[in-house]
Amino acid sequence: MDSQPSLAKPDWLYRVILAVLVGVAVWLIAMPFSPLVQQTTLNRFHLQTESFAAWAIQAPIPAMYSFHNRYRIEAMPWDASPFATPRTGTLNHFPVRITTFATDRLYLKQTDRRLITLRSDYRGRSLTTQWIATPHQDCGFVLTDEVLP
Amino acid sequence: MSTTETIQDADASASISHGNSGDHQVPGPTHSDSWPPTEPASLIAAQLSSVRGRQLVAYRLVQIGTLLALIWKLPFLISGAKAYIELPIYQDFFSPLFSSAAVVIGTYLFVCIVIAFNWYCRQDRLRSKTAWLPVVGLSILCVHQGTYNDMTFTTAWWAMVWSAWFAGRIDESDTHLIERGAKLTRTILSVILLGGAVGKWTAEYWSGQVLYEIYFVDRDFWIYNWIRESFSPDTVREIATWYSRKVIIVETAVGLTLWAMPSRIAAAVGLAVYASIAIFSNYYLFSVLLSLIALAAVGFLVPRDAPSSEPATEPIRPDASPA
Repeated sequence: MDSQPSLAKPDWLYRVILAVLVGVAVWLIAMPFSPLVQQTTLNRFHLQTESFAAWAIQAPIPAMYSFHNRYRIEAMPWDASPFATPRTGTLNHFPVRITTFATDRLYLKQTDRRLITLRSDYRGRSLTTQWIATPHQDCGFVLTDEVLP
Repeated sequence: MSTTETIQDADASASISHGNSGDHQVPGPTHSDSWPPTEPASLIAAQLSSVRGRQLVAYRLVQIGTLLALIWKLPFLISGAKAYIELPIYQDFFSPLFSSAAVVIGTYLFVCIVIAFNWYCRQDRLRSKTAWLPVVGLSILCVHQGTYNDMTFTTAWWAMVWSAWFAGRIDESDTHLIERGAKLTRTILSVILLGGAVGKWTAEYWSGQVLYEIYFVDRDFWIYNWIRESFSPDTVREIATWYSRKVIIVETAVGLTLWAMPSRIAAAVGLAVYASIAIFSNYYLFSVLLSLIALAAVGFLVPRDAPSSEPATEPIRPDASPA
């Protein structure tokens, strides 16, 4: 036989990583034009993706300081003081983090901060969700949510 | 595996080019009276004089950058860990595994320890395997209730994916690895910048309203404090508009072009852009950006007289030395 030994082989991992990066870039560039990409990302930000797996697979897509994300925090109607006014503000990304991330979650101990309304806007498309924190029987809180029209 | 690949320490990495029996001829280190080097500067110079030494410097640079990124806001993370223990939050969306305080704390510590180990590790085979462990740990942190929103872990994930790929290819005979590595870092940095830019292609960001509300109204940071003290509220609002437009233009322009720039220019541009984001926005952002700054710096390690870039576009993974 006159066969030559193979000295080199393609670097498939390199190609896979590059392909993923190209896929992410295409997804990002499509965002301003594609209602599907916009809605998928809004759902991602508000944890409204149909399945955890479908949400998790988007984790490598960078999303720093994206969309106009606003919050309103107030008491549940039965806890509300007539003098209390809702707190409002703007968040950089992933707005639901205001109820879960690090020390932010400690604010839920205050009874006037257990009804949270979040809204994200991107090029005319928006998503509004409302989150209610209810004390858990042991400790902590149960967080439930619904999409508002 | 050839015997050269088992020589692991920094000094040895500079000397193995003499023992390289592959087809690739690589220049050996310059031996002088000061050999073996004892000064840090001469140690680094000796490492950079060999192909494998240069690869190791690139790899370790990314490890140390990512480790620093992860521990940059440690006091804040410790406070966060206490909050996760004190006040669990139950959501249907996150399973108990992905909302557990023990999981997030344990995984964070695990990732930090493994990256430190990988930085120190002197065995190529072991390193090429353990380099994947931070990817696994960071994958968990990227989808955990307590950390998914923190971009620190997203950028660290990309840095560790690069590291896992690179660690498995460190080899004296692969003279093009550092070029391919730099090309991959440029592409990662481009896509991450693009991610931030695209999310800002909105009227609310172009008008400056979003960054005005986040930073200019009441953020306690040197540049915003100075602007508020120095200008009228109307002027502050106008500055916010132009600040926001500058951010959008820079992120868009650099995100779309960085991947195509020459290595050293891309490294300088990447360093400048990523460092400026933290310096002019929020020092906490160094936790997000240090891993990217380290990735950008890999471009400086591409030799000035690097061979044609053609092999970098057609990645070839060298086999072990032919028998």
